[in-house]
Amino acid sequence: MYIEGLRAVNGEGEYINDLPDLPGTLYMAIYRSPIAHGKIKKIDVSDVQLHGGTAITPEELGKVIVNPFPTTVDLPINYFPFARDKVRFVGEPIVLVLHKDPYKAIDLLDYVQVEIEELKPIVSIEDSIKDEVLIHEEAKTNIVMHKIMRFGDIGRAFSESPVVISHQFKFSRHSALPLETYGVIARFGQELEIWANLTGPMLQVYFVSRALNIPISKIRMFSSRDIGGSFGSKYQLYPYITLAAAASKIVGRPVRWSESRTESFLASSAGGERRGTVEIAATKDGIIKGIKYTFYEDVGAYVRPPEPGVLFRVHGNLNGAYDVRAIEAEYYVVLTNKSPTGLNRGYGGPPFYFALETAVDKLADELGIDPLELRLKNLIRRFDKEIDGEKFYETVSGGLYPQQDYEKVVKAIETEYKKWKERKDVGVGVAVIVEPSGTNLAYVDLALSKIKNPHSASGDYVTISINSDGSILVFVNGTNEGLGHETTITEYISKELGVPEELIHVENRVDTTQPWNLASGSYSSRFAPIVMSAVSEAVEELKKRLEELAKKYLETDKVLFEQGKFYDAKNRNRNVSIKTLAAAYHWDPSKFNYDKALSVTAYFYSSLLGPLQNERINSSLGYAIQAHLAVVKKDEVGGFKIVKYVISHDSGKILSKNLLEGQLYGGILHGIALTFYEELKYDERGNPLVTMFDSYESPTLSEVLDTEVEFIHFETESKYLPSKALGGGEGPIMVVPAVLCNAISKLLGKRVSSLPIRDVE
Amino acid sequence: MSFALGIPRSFKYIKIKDLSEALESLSEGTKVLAGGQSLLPLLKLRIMGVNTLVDINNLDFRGVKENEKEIEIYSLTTHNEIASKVKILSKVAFTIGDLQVRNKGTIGGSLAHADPSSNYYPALLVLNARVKAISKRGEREIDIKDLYISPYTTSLNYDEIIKSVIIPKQNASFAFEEYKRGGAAFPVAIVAISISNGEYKVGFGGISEKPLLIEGEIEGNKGEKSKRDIIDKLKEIKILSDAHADSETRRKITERLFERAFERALKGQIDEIQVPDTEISWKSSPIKALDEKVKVKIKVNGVYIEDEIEPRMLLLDFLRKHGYKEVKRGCDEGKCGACTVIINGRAAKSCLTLAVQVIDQDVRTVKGISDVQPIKDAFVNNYAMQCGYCTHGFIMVTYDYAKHFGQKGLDDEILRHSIKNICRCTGYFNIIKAIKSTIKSLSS
Repeated sequence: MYIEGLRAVNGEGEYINDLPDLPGTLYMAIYRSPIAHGKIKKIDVSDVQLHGGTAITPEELGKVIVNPFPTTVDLPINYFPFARDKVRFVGEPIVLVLHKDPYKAIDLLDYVQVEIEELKPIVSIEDSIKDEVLIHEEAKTNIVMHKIMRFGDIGRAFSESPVVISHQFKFSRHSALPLETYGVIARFGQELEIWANLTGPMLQVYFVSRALNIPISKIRMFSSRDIGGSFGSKYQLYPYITLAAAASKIVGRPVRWSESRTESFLASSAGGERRGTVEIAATKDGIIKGIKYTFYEDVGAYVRPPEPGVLFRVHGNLNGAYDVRAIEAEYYVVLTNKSPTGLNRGYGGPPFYFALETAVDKLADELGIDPLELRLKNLIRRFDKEIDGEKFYETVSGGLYPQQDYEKVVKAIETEYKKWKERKDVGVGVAVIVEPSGTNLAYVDLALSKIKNPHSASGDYVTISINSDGSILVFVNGTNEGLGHETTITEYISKELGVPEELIHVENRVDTTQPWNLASGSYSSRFAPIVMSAVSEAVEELKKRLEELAKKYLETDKVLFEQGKFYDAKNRNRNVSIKTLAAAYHWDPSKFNYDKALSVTAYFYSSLLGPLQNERINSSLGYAIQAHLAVVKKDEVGGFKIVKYVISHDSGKILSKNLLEGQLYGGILHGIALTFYEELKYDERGNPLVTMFDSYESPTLSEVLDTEVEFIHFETESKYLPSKALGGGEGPIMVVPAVLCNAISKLLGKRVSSLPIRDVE
Repeated sequence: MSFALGIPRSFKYIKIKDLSEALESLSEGTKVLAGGQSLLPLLKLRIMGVNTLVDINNLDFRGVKENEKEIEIYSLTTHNEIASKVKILSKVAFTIGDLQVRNKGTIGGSLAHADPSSNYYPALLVLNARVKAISKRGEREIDIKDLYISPYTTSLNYDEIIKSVIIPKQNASFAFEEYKRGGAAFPVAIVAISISNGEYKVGFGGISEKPLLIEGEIEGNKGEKSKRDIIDKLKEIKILSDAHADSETRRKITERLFERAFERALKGQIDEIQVPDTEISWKSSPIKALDEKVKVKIKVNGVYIEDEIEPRMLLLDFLRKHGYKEVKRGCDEGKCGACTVIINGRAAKSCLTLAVQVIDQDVRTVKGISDVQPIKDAFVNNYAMQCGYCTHGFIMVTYDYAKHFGQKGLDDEILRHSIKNICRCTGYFNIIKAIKSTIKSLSS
């Protein structure tokens, strides 16, 4: 039973803008900078008042928003959710305007007058690193982080290898752009209450608490039940939550804000542009000995936490799917006058694997070895690190890949590959990755030179309770943004406990009055490895408790459990259902002489995820192999169309095949969009050129009508996790751009490694 | 600066009852509202403001009349009706926007709006069309060549309304090509070609400030010389550069579209798309909304809802205000289709419809349609949703699509140009399965 699907078709979803207004609500509209870089000379809001509205200036905001958000780099860059003396990107909030009528609140923006003295904007990475114009004077440079990390004997790998290639790439600024924009309701009296379409409490509560200087216990944060898509972007709601909270404090009334689509293009969140070089050292027969990465990451006008985490999310898997024991990574984090970047689908994986997997194809060209064969040669085969009886491959940068048969998964695309390879009218490309899932927040510390306090937050809570009628209530501090968590949990519990699905209710939403931790939420594909492990542990504990109760109820010392019923091991005619047992225990606990509740809050945390150690870290709990193949052909005007797309993968136990395939399909399209269409471009003045779906060229069904997709599933249960499952839904966007570029390079006979591909041939 | 868009600035609104009222109402500062599928986006994005909208949808300028000499298309005939009734314009009309836009958008509105990437101009230029305009001073005919002046400006006076478009019948071939990037609503390039008696007419749209017409005699073996001449002429033109394509890319695309179309036209082909016949009317109670607020009564899911609203209130916001929260806002420009509802049996975007435009009309959401269950089942069974935010809009458009196209709706070319709602989660693969399985289940 697809619970979320039924809610959607019946029009019964509950999204943030569907929640009713609180009494006395004022609607907020944001006056934003039309200038990319400049000094604020004068702000005049008197006309707003004359027209019956309320305006809040930066000066007033500064009295409530007393601290900047925490910084994640060594330099003193103050990130506030509004411009104070300077504007640093088009769309930066300056003045808030409030009115009880949402249409009028927007009209009132016409009456805000802000005088800005323009400064030279920095739009490109090239201009930024010259440091001729500074975006944050106090930082004294636009390069807010520069680090070189080395693992293994990189010097030897490069000096002794007969073949070294150098490969340049450009990955474009992109937002996976959920259809629903941001929405916030704030009521800030004695305590702060927030309703927003956020995907978890995680660090957002902490950020807001720091900015407003109030204890976490005084913030009650809730989400709506359904979120209209996130792809990571709703992690960056906290600046707007802070603004709405401050506005509510200042006017003493509830404040509601709903982001326009134009604003979402301009200033919500996007993955940043990355440029750089990949160098690979290899033997003549194609054994990769070492890899050097040089990445320039454009994070926009501020380093907005958790940035520059985008560089480090893949830290444990810098070798990709290959057995490479020498790696160097040199990172530059660069500021420009664009809106600050943040989480975007696949966070960190897409630019990284685009760089690596297009470079591997270049190496294949150089060596004259078939690209699939080259990959097969270098795949990891030895999983020789044993931890608690399970086998892992320990990467040179600290990752722990669980044992899987990489060769089998990659070879599964070989037949299709050979079928197309010889055809002249098409280009066929391949790429192979290891998809990380279940983030270890500690990787953000890699940006700092000195770590004051070690971090390793990654676990989560799940509460399962059995009601007096045997029905079951589950609570998860996450959200439904379309991944089918309610369905998955319901199906799992129904199967494990033998309770009909109709009797199980999963409440999956953010509520900070319930147990949560700094990692709680829905992001980094953490549901399968982490949340489902907590579910599994809660179910096991409940089973134990039910078993104890059943023994007492049936007055026996041994019971057997089958499909929702406990049987006296000695006499199967004596049995009791969960329903009867739950009713008996709820109504008359005195009979049982038992001290545990039929409600369990399980906390799952894996000791495999520790803090940073000498720049090495196991940055994710799960790592799963994925191999992709794309067949590309020219369209009628010389653009490209995808004829066939194949994904072969092993994401551990498949919790729900339909839901997993849905994620793979969606990821493929995001990859296609990123490769051919969607780029958040700016002109030389720092003006965003994309403010609408039309100019973003977001694909419709038309773009995939001719594309045939095939999935090849392998299922090696990941026994080191109670859920036995790994993430699978972020893989495609990490691979698709590389595969398509590799296929197009074959078709054209020249290497393409710059996104997006917009020219026609 | 305001980037909070998607809601128009205030205006007054008149829905006229007849022609004389329409002509009386027009003055400087008024703007005629026909389908509104291009005008309302400009108002919502605050690119344009208007004092008074004069909604002419109650005029009887609808339908197509034909004799031996010419075809006369009345100005309020919608694109979907033209695609179904006027063979020579079927591809031209059917490749405009999406199903919802074609349900409301009209040929007269499109010509008066004068978007440089309008499908009609290049086609009508090569078909020697004329436009009949009407005002208090009477009627006059304008050659299509003289109608378009510059982007969004025509030679119509403010007091004139387009009454009809006249296309002379001739023994000519006709080829039409347009190319859109991604899910873009507007084409990068449009090419229309007509050849008769050894003479060609080539129309280009979307590539320059003004639609172009190039005429001449077919020369060379298989028209090779003419082909080269036309491509050379294209090189002299200043080609537009925008977010979709720079000049050079646009020129290449145009050349290739032209070559394909020219080949077909030389062979004497007439491009057409066959779609089932359809009738659409957007008549509703006349109203004069000259004050800040106006009383309205709209039938939603069978229940009359009364309210006092600003004339600029979008039907989307009216519905959501009254609890029909299943109707969603996903964009500012009228593109994504999440707000689609059924008005008088046809799918329309409630963000490109003013509430005052549907007084006394029948508006339905998924909660008020009795025969929508097969679509719901098809969407759930095919896992055709993830976050669910776009689902209602997709169900609404699928409802109209399946009903009006039937089996024909299984044709990928028909589907490609019809359902263009945006989904950001599913990649559309499962949605395509759901739409097709709906059509199959309805016909079995």
